[in-house]
Amino acid sequence: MVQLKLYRFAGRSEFREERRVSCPVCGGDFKKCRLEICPYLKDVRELLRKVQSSRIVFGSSPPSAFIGSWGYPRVLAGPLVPPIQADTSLMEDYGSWLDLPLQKLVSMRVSMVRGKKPVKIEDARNPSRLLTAIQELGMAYTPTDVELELDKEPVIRPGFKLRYAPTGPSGTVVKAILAENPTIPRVVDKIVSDIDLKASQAIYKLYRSGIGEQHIVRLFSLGLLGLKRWRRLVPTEWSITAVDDQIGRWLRSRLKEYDWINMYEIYQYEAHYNRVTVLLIPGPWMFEVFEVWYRGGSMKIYHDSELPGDPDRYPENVGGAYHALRLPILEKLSEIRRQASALAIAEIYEGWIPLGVWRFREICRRAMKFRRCKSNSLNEILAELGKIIDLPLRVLDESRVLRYHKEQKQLTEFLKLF
Amino acid sequence: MSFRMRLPSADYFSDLMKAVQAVVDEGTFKIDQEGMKLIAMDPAHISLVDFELSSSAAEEYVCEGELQMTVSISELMKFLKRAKKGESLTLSYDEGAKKLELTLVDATGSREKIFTLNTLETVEARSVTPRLSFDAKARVGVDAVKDAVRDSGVVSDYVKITINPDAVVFLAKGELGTVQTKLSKMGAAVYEIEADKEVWAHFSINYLDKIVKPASSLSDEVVMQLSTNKPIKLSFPIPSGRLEYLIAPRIEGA
Repeated sequence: MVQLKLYRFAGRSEFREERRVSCPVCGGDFKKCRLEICPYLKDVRELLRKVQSSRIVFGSSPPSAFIGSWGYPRVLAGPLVPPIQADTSLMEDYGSWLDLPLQKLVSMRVSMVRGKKPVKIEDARNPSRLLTAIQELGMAYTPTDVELELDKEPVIRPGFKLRYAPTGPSGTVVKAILAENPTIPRVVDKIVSDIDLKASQAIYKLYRSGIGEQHIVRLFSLGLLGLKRWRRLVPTEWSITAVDDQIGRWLRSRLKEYDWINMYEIYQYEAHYNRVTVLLIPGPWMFEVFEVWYRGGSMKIYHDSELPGDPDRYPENVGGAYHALRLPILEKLSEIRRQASALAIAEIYEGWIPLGVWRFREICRRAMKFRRCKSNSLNEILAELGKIIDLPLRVLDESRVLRYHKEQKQLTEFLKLF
Repeated sequence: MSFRMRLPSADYFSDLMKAVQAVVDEGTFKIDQEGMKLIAMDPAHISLVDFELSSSAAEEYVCEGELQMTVSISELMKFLKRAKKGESLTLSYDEGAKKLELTLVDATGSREKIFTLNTLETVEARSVTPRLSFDAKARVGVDAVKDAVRDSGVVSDYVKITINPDAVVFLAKGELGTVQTKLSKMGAAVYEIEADKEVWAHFSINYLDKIVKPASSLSDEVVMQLSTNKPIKLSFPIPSGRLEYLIAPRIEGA
């Protein structure tokens, strides 16, 4: 549990309840889910039929590899390979997914066949032939042709996961061969072969050299980063949060030198039935997330925050979405070299099918490019905020960040300055 | 211009720096014939430390004129952590070279360790004078205050501190419930209360805890000074020096 080790564990009462994730059509019921009726798979039905009739898949992996969390520390690892040979890089490029219709997005991901092989996480240090091939694939940054041989025809399993993008039919891997030499950026090669560099340092270095987050997550999950004796496979869903968190920590540590922004500002963007609204308040860095799920007229709210002087603690209620939302805000503030207190409101509407936390990161990143309004007064900006979100403002009475700004006085109000 | 100071105990200086670090990570010390001083606010302008170590604390003290020295206290702490029990510490600073030299010598004088720390550029900041008047004053055992703050943390982020003629009261309210600590004037934890009426204000537990914890290893008692909805002053009496803090209040329903 890599990301939990970074934090002091919160008390039992703060544990979040299991969030139900389900497809609105079949309700997540295995018996009802059929390839024939699934509206999301309309476009790929033909392709999937073809895939499911053969034990061998040949195609260009975007590149992509998947490590499951089931059975940890003995996990299912393997490459994701679509049965087509083309430029498939879009299949792994979160940044451009916001512009695709949901149905297209699901079809695209589901058309990739997932090879599975039970592997012990420590095996990342001395990989088998198969794992070596997967690791090499993971280091690549352009689509790479892979031949995947399964023990029998792949089967499609229904259901969507909360934290990561959906995957397609899967089967146990017998053999995986890279059909071409992968293109590996020099910096990736250098950092992967540095067995004395800590994983956290490796992540910053890759990030600073402009390596995409997706790529860093892949390297991290395949156990290619860090001190040799600590390298291990990390389930994809945990890796995503670990990488978001580590980059965020690095940006956050440099923020405190910067001056405060001088006005209240609101940023907003929405896509795929998700809306992210960010309120920036002049002040020291602090951050709070309200994650709101609207379902059938009711509303479920998850909420976490970090204030100055708070102990370092895992956001038990919001989970990975917390780090995914924090990163783009830190990126923006670092870019303008300013400090601010941030309140992020993520609203999720009916129609969204759980495809992972990437959409929060990408929507938030877009949001930070669109300033909706700014003001000199907290009350004015809150009134404005009330108009552009569906969350009733009274919910924000719970906000630790807002309460802090309304109540906490500064010494400068009481002392003379010279 | 340069300055040189020898202190009998490196540990003591280390504890002092920990107490300063509770408020600032980087600080400018003003050094003259009388001693070294630092007054600084944290970046959020919520707490302030007023620190002074007078020349009488030193076995040897040499200072020509007035000088300023800016150091990263967390870097300085890395060196001071290397100090062993019973070692003495000599600080010497050369303003031209921008280097602070720390010499640690053990009790028998058989081993000498020299650390050199690069100091930082001094940025002329607005200075503050921590002069405020207060309506009430209480001298209390530091451990009782530390526990009261910690206990309040169970239910809330902040605590209401009240000083009335008979007692000092810490009250925290949260969703979980309330926590109240009452230190009565009759009890052993309260040495003295000077108050004509009841005064109170709310303060962040994070800041209180961060300050009281390191200061508690330097002093057994704390002088709390308070007025209603005004900053609190916490003074920790230390031999030949001054260690005082101010914390800005939170004002409910403002």
